[in-house]
Amino acid sequence: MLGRPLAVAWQKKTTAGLLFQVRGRGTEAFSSLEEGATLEVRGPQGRGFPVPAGERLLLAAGAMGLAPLLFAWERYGASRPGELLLGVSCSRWTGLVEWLHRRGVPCTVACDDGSIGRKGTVVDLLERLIRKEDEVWACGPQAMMVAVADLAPARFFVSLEARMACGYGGCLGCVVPTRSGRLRACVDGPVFDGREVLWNDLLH
Amino acid sequence: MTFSTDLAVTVGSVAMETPLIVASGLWPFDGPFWCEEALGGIGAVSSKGLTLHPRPGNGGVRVWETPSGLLNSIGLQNPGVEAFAGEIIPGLPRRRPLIANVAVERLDDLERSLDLLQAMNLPPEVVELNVSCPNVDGGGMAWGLDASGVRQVLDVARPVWRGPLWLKLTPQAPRLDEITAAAESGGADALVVANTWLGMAIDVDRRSPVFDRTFAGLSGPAVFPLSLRLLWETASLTALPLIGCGGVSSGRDVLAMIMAGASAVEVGTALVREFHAPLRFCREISAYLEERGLRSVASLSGCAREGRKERR
Ligand SMILES: Cc1cc2nc3c(=O)[nH]c(=O)nc-3n(C[C@H](O)[C@H](O)[C@H](O)COP(=O)(O)OP(=O)(O)OC[C@H]3O[C@@H](n4cnc5c(N)ncnc54)[C@H](O)[C@@H]3O)c2cc1C
Ligand SMILES: Cc1cc2nc3c(=O)[nH]c(=O)nc-3n(C[C@H](O)[C@H](O)[C@H](O)COP(=O)(O)O)c2cc1C
Ligand code: FES
Repeated sequence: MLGRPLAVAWQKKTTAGLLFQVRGRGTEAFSSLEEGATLEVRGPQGRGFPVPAGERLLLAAGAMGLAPLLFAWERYGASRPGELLLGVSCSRWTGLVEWLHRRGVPCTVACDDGSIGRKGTVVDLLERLIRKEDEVWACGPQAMMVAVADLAPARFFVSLEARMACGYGGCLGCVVPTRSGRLRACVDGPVFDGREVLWNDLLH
Repeated sequence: MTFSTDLAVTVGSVAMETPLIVASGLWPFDGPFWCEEALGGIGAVSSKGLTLHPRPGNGGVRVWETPSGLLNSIGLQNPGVEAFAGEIIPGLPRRRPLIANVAVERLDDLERSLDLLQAMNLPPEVVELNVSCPNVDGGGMAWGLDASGVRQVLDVARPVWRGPLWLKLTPQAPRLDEITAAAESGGADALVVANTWLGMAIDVDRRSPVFDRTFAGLSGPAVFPLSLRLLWETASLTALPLIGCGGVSSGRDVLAMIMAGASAVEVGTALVREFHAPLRFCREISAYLEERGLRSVASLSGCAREGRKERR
């Protein structure tokens, strides 16, 4: 019935790369596509990250939240001071981390159980690193985003996930509570100014 | 927008170039959607459900996919009639008849809402009274569940709103015969059959209902046979013009609704799957007519009823 929202994780000439985790029926179907299969794609939709302006650009990814931040890293991060941080839960994510290394993307990894990179969370990594003038972009599970918001970065942008139906701004199924009212993640986001998002309402 | 056959229809005094109306709750107020490019195949547009005062809508999960269907619990998030009438609509091109979907919360609010719409320089071509929203407390669907609710709403609305007044029914109403009688005597000009079907979902991972309000409205192909049956029954009960709504997802579905007695058809969830669905439906209908040498889609209205032994 419905499409599935996915970030563009990388782009090379006319090829767009996706990076996704199998969660249910839709992503399962994507994962079993044969080479040469045709997909119906609508997009790119919505608003992306702004041009970075902070002293350093720190990108904080929780697991699959990596997808849009990898794109951001390759677009902006690689050419300016900053770091890409990735938090995962356990050694099941080794494949993704190795893939990043093969791709030549420098990335600091934290793992809840310590089996890859440092033991701890991506928020721990960020907390140790962050300075007053830094700009932070984050994407990941809600609890992680709230913890990043608590660090109160000077410039702070988040890419949020919401269940979507129409993807064109019509159904109001994907709204995010912000200081300017409930905004649609599909067309007004998915990137929002982290200081505008009402995090407590989001967690309801 | 030209097709090789005649797709024009009328619902009472409202003329449309095609039989397809965008169902309420699916069309954004953003400018590009009101330009010709986006409106291909569309005969008229129904607005998001409006209330006198702005509403933030429901919290929690709002949409959930089901087999061939969509459950929603949006909760009438809308900017309020004042902003709609004063800023939003005047700022948009008017390329199709505009249907203002007005939700009923309280009767005095309804009266004020209709006053504001009536006072617009270019009022909507139609008001569609939504007495069938399952996703709000205090009013909403409650008004549409029985004849006395319907009569109360029409008794307030009819004297205020001078244009065509459509009533959007809820499938949850147990006595269709009483509802249609109340709609006729209350002065409704047409009936929309119907809004969403009450359903629910449980997230077994979280072991709790998906929606904060537990129940939600089901739409999409899953409900098409149900809506078609309801339309058929309604057509047996009243001579008012009817608009079919629920699960339409092809030109043949549109034709089926029209053959069952609809003058026009609303399309909602199909847009979510395929934004240009109305254009495809029109092409399919046009090809159907052409292959059979039929002159117009309007001539098919109610044709499936001919020869059936039934009331009316
Ligand atoms: C703007 C945006 C960008 C995204 N980018 C990516 C990406 O690049 N890579 C990636 O792996 N995932 C991404 N997601 C999440 C992805 O859309 C969901 O994992 C996917 O829709 C699940 O579909 P499914 O049919 O496999 O699962 P379903 O059977 O529908 O659900 C399985 C699980 O996924 C969760 N889920 C369902 N829909 C969403 C959703 N829209 N957002 C978050 N969780 C959801 C459900 O709560 C459930 O636990 C993104 C989401 C958004 C909103
Ligand atoms: C996301 C969504 C929002 C809706 N909002 C409204 C609304 O505001 N007012 C209303 O009368 N109906 C609303 N509806 C119901 C539709 O207008 C339509 O009656 C119903 O979805 C059945 O048609 P469909 O199967 O073609 O979608 C909504 C439906 C959906 C899916
Ligand atoms: S998914 Fe419909 S408004 Fe965003």
